Amino acid sequence: MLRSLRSGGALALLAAAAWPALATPPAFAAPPARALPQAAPAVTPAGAPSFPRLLVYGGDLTIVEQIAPVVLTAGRNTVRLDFVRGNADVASLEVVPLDRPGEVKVAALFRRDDLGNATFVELDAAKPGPERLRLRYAARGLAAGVAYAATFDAAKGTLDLVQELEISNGSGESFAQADVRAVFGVVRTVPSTAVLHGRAPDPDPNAPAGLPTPPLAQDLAEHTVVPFGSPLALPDGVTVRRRALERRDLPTTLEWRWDAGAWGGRVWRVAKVANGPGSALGGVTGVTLQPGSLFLVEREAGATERFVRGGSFGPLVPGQELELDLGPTPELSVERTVIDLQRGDLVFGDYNKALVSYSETESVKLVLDNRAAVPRTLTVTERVSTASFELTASSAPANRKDQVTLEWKVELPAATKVELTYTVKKTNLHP
Amino acid sequence: MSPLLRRSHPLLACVAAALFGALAPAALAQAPVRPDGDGFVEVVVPTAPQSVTLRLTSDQPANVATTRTVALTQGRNRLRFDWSRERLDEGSLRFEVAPANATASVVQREKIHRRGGMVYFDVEAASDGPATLTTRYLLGGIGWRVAYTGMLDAAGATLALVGTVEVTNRSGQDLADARIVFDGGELPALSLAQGERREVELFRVEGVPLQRRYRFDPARYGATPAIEIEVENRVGTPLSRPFLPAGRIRLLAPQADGQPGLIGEDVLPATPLNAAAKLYVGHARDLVVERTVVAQGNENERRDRWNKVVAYDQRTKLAFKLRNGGNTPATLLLVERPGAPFEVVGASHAANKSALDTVEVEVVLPPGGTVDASLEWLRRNLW
Repeated sequence: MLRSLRSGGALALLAAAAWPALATPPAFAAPPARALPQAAPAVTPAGAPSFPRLLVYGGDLTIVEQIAPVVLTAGRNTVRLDFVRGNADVASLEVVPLDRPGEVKVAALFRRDDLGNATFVELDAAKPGPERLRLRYAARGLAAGVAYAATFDAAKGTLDLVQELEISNGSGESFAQADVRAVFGVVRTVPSTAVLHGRAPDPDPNAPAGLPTPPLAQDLAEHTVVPFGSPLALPDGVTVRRRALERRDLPTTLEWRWDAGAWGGRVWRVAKVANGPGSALGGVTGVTLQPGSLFLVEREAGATERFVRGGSFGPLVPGQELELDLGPTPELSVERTVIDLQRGDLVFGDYNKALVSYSETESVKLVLDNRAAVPRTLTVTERVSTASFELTASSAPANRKDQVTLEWKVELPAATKVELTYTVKKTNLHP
Repeated sequence: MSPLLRRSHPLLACVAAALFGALAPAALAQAPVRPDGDGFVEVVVPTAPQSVTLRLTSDQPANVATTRTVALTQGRNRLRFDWSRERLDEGSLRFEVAPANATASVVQREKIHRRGGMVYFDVEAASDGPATLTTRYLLGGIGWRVAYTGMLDAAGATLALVGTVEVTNRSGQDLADARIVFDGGELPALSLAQGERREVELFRVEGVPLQRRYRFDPARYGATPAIEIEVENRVGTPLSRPFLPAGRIRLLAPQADGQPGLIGEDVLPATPLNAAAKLYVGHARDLVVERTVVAQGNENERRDRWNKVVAYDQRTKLAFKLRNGGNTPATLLLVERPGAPFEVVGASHAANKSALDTVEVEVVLPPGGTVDASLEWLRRNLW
């Protein structure tokens, strides 16, 4: 990546000096360091940050932003930038004069095949003097991620939530100090070789119109920026993790659910935490939580912590309730039995007397066992194998959530078994 | 070691060297609090923790909590942990620091990949002093299983049940006086080096009531009646455990000579409090069932234009001859699975349609007696 512009010695910035304007690109007969005059001593104007800023996106993309102070002479100046280490994409380099935008203009960025990643910035300055250049380029090898650790306290009925931001530097370049921000969301990018006149491969005659960009999950996605905090040292081959958010004792609402297709047919608990304005999690406006990995444990009575599950977390937007599956509980169980099935309403074709359709009447018994010493409300979800059915009998009021899903909310007294039975008639079935 | 000591008392020198070797790691681990060029002091955290708790679950790695005491200096401290030997999930690492008489905060955590299993925690301490560090992480390689042994009394009415737990350590970490907590039990202090396994008794209870049943279910148990034993884990009974983890159970019963003999094994399912576990331990010797399909035929056939059967009903009639060669009455449950849909149209004894494709008939067999039973069902609208 770009070597330090202030470090002296083997400077990446090899020259910032007058270079006679050439009608044609300069022919480098000798190594550039000797061919070009030595740069004047660089001066960092007041207020310039002394460390680069890294914007780390998903998909192995990092935008590096650096300030390079140079001293220019009047007329054409050439600044040589060497990206000697790291995975910088020099084709994405953007140079912007900061101090005198009206007087200093970037005339061209010049590169040569035999000089690798070296880039010559040709600047036209109306007057001599110091100038800060903002360099921005893309790099690969840095990755950022979010990890959540959630601790559910069963006795208190609260949740502790910790969000940690992690950045990993595998770019090949070390940053002594860097201001790091992670960007979450899908950002559209187009490779620099998307259109390369004269060298582009023959277009596919069947390809759709437009630029041959890679497929994208989302073109216009909102994204959020999470700062890493105070500038950090980020050497190559190092992963750093910092705590970005910490909420203790969040009030939690518990629900008990059962679905034959989830958690191996066992009853599981769901913890819900409000994230609206004024809530303990959301604060004044509600909090946005980026998607990340989850580490969920339950704090037990004996001060031990039981690992519940890993998995993924979020995203969560302000106003959206945080919902976490806490895993199965042995306190409640459901025993499901299909107690009867009968066929009827056979319809035969008028012409060939073949069987055209029929109906099935299915009766199901669910024994809901609450072994806890306190009452519970259990949400039971059942799925019917066809959308053309009607609920002909049910021992408790049912809610048809969608075409094939029925839902009951059943009150279970303490240490009691409750029987839930229902019958559905599936019509217009075909053999 | 002094050369004088080495020359004059070689045995004492050996003992001293051994003692130094044993104590050195702990002493050295705490000692070097050296200033670093990067503006922090590095504290090498002792390898052996002061307390270890492992929370084991049935299908997840062990959740480990360890505590250590280290000396912090005011300002930035870098705590270095070496977990290069352990099968540790670094993504699960959590870290807390509690100084004895000041405040401290964890600034960040760092992993330097070229240094292998080293993990660094940067702690900002308000003042010098000792602090308690708690680290929590998931550790692979800790295996555990529960086994039960049940001894029936002479009458076969109650059970003496012993539960044991076996813990295996292949985590790469030596455990010293570790507290092991798992669903349904706890071991307060277990020492287990890497590569070792230890079996410990969990509980021993006498007089657990049990129910014995006989099931004739050809589709599940074959052509002879199976023995089903039900054990209840209920409050108010001798077996009143918060949770019985799943595990192999071996049932023994006194033989004619008074010595215990194996009557069968099964897997006891995970059984919470106030639930029952059913065990299938073998087949009855004294009960004989002769099952005969007396009749099976199609009726009510409906045909299409080309005289091909497109729907029909099927009637099946079974006859059973049941013998009890024992000297005690026995209740035998006949289980048949006609398939769905079906309806019972006749039975010599009360028939119960227990599921959409299953019917059960309960028959009481007197000692040394023979009973005839029959069952008839009709399956409508087949094709």
